Amino acid sequence: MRRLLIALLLTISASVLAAEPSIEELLDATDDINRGESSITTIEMQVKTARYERTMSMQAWSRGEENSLIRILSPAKDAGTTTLKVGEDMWNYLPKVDRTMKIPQGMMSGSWMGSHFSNDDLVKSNRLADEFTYVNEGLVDGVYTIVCTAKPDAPVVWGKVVVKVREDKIPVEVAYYDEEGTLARTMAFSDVRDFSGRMVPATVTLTPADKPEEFTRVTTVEADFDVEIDDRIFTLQALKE
Amino acid sequence: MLALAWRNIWRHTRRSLITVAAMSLGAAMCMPMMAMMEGMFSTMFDVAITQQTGHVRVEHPDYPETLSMFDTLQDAESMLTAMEALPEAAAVTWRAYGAGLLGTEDKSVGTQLIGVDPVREVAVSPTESMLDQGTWLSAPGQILLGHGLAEELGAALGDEVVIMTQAADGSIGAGAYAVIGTMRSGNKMRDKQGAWMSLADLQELLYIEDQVHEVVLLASGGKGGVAALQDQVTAVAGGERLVRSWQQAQPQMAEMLKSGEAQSMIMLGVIFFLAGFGVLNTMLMSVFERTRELGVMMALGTRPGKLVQLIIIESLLLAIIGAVIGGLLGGGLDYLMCTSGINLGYGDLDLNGVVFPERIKGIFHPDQVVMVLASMMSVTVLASLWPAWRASRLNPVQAMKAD
Repeated sequence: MRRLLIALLLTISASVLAAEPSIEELLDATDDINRGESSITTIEMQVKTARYERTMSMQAWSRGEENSLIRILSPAKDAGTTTLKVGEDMWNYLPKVDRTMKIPQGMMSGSWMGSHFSNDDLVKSNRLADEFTYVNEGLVDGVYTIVCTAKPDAPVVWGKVVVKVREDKIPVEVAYYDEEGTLARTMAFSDVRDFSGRMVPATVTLTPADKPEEFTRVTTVEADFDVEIDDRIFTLQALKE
Repeated sequence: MLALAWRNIWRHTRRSLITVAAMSLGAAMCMPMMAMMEGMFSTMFDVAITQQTGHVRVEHPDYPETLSMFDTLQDAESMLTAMEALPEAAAVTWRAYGAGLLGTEDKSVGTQLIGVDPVREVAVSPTESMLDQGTWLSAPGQILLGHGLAEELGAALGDEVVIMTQAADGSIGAGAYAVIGTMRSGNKMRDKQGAWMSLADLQELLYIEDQVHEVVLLASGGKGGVAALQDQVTAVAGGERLVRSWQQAQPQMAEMLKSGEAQSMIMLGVIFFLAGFGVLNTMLMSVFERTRELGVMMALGTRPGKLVQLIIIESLLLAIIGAVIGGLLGGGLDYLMCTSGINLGYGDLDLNGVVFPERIKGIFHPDQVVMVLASMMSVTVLASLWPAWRASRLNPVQAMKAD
């Protein structure tokens, strides 16, 4: 959930912090922004592949790293299709057949809803600062470049992650490299806007390195932070409603 | 002459019987063995050819490499109609493939979806023998699970399973299907993670109307008619379509079947080589023992050519007795091999992804008997040539002095 919602759920940013942020703070800000927070957001996801291009609108409920629920609102063909994440488990509700399916571990690297995001992107809660060793390459034009290298045996799919994050802790770009050091995909953040009093990059664009014409772009339309969400939302019963 | 030869072979009853026994046992072993090989080849052929490639297949030029859902044959219906009209085509079917998540709320598994035409498929692959439990597809909304997949899901006949997949337009395809049976197709991968459903259901699920991934044909001339069929298919297939024979699509399988046939020939050769030595030994012994007698015959005016004839007829008589006994014995074993099969005791034997059932059943073909008996006859005649030649070269005077 975290990576997808980075764009949606950036927490209080660096404007409140006077001191120069540490690398850990910058990394945490990049991948742990919604920890302990809750949000209700409306997003649009545009997926462009060699074969098709489509835009879906969705509503997402999220609480901390543990729980989230994302429901497709349109197009009509997919409306009602809902993903529930509880911890590391994930279910999809399929309104066409009124059935729920649990996603098995073996399918976690598969595409989520036809996008370039994987199911793992929604479920995994590895933290950059924990699973990677990192080096700050320095500040250029107000943007830090931090090179993170996976620790041996870390349970992560990437060998290297290069994070570019502004002084005010708003991420600019995250580049993911595989274990051989080849660029696999790039996630770019743009369009920083104010959502209920906090500055958030409203658009995140994920581009696979091997198919540069393809992308998945998630745009935040509305976002409410720190809202009360009923526990019931994150249950299999609620999934079908 | 015949009577003389007949009497001669029973002068040493025990020796002749042992020779006959060796020949008939050889023949009796060969026949069921060939039936078993035929059975194994046919299993391999079914798994690789009738269930997959066909004698001749048509697909999108990129499909063999990409195996992508998007690389389909368009206008499948009109193409199929054209293919069915071909004189060299004995049977034609079309199939589509997909991948999806199949299961229930508690458990789901990544599955290969095989969309088959419930009616046409029956004419191409042995669907009846592929079924493990239940019945073959007959109506929309039905699904057959590979037996391994059914076990893993704990799905039983009558259960409902859900499939979730990515449709060709990017939307989320979903469907619910009733499990009407399980499959033991012999294809290890499919039995473990495959599901068979009607082509129409799969096309609807994937949003690929009037598209298929392959059109598969069997030649009316069998394996021998493949080239002729391929020419006809190529002529009507049109552009952007790849037409291949099964040998082109499955070179490894073609190689394997060829080497398998060579192996059974070698086995046959070894058995008859040994039987041939038996005959050679028997006839040589009998010529040596009868040196005096043969000398007398020659002295009385029997020409060497007649002696050659005599020895060859004696051998042939042995061979015929051997053939009759061997044929009967082999026929019996053949019958057992083809009806109840043999348990090799390996459990399910897996060879290159083709799983053979625990009991391998033979397949009888008249050619097998003809080949075994004919090779027995010819080996016997060959083996008797040398003793016959020796007999004809005897010097009557010296021969009569022998012993």
